[in-house]
Amino acid sequence: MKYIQGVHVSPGVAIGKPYHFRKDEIKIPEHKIENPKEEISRFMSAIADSKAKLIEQINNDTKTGLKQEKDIMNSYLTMLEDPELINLVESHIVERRTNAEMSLMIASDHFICLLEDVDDEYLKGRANDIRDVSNRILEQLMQIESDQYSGLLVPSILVAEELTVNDIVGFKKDKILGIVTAKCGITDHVAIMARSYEIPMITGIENITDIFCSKKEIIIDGKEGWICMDADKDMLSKTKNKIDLENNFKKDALSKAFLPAITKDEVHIDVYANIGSVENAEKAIFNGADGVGLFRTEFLFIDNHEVLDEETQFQYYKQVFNLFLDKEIIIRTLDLGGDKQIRNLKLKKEENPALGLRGLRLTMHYKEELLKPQINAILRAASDHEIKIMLPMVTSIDEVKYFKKIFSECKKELRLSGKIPEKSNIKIGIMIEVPSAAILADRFASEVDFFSIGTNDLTQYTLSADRTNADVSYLNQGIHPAVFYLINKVVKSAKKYSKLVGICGELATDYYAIPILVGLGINEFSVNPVAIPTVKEIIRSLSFKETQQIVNRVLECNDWECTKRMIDSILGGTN
Amino acid sequence: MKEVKIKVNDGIGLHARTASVFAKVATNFDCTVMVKGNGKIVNGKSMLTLMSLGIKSGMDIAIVTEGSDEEKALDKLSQLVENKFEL
Repeated sequence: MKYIQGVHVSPGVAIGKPYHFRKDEIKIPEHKIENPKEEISRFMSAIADSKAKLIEQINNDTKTGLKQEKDIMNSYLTMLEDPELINLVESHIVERRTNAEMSLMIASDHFICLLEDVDDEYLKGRANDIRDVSNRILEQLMQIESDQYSGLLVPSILVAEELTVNDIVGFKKDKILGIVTAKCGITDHVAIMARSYEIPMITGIENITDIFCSKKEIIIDGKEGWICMDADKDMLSKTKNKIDLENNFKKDALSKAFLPAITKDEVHIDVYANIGSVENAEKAIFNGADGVGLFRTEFLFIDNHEVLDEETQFQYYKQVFNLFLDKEIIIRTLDLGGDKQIRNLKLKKEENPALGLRGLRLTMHYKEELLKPQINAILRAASDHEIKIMLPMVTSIDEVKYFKKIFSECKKELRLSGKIPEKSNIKIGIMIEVPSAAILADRFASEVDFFSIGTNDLTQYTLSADRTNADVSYLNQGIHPAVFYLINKVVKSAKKYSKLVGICGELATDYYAIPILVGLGINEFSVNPVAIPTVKEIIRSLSFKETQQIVNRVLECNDWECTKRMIDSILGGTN
Repeated sequence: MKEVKIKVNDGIGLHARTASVFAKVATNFDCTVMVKGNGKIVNGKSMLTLMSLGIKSGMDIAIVTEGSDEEKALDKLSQLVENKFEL
């Protein structure tokens, strides 16, 4: 057996044969044609074929597809038959005697530029959709045996240099057991999709050749980020059992998703959702979220590649808030940085973006362009809803004081102009994700209404280990004693000042970390929508008293293995 | 020829989904369908040109139909816009 360590992207275990997915670039031919009539009918039948194929894809997807994805596919269908697009292609064929492929490219460029001229950031972003649709027609025109996606016949582990959202959509989801790629950001859309479809995924594998050349089944563990090659019989059967057990547990948990998470000794814990889009929000509701613990607002900006104005933000926030009716929503101000570029915000390229102008530091820096419009949009959208605002990357007390000053100025102005009601009592809290904030938690506790511990960044900053770097990922397993020490300190400070403390980050979904976090006294777990039922079910299996005992014992551990053994020995049998 | 002025009030405007729904419904009629807005006039059966109008929520558009079933088309399309593009 051979183990290869990568970076974990989407949790879960999978066994399967590897399938190598190679992407081919389409080269567009250009030549003059003799018979325009024939060329037009060739073009029209390519459209008919693309349509038939897309309809088939939509039908296959109805069971598993997400709503947003279906909307995209349906609008592709309308675009395929767009009369103006067809007209333009036809006139190129007739007047310039250009072949259908090239005429199609010229026509689609025309519409891309047309949208580029519109003063609407969302529409500018639709250029990719037009390109996608014309590629679909091109494939039919050129009879590229592409269906690049049809080669995957038996359920397998997809192995590729890099994947796009289209690729994931293109494959039949029930054929993808797991994904291994060389490159993929942890916050990329592909990663988010893998997590929402619950497909185990690992990235950061430098040499994927080793993996797809294997003729035998491989095992991947998307939570710990390793791949096991040439697994022996024993390992394979153990893993198969593990997958079966997990699936049964998940099924059971899903049937109880809408019930609250109450420990055996009647302690109620809120399980909230991390969301970043309307689609995500819908999934959260469907999976029984008790509220939203982290509404990531930067995704709307990133998806549109632009800084959005107050009005657009207001409409979007309102739409999401309305979905949750009486449930609490914690909305986080923009968490952008030098590594996440947006077109009309010229961020400097930084040597070390993780330690640079990001999160609250960035929005304070662009007070007029970013901070104020967002505060105003949130305040306006918040009426009739239970909204809390959370600040990312807070490092010092001054930052909180500065934000509160701007916040009350905005509030005053909106009240004077009658845009918000007299009484609007939005609570302000901070993410604890920088060690300095954890160390000074006592002082922050007297300034803010609540804490939310962002375990991903807190771990990365405390251990000085990049979680996207496979070579140091051994440091990022579970809860490092130093991180545990800080979390313990933060919870104690919060309790001392009677402030609520929640947790968002991967630890909140970890089977072994949950008992420790419950034992510490965390009030609220905020997790990826798909993980909600499972986290609730794990909490239900615990006794708060027992978890409190664990905490004291675990504080003595020096490594994660010791912690896991300790938890097994205390809880053993009960889980 | 029939014409009606109407406010787009769906919270988003004529974007991919809404333009696609509008074009799809318009295509079911034989008459020509034009949409005016933002100082431009485009083919209402073309989702791409509809998007290029850049209509945001709160803006006015005019739907113009001409042909045998112009009245029916106008009714159906203005209803669609009023109904925030929900069929």
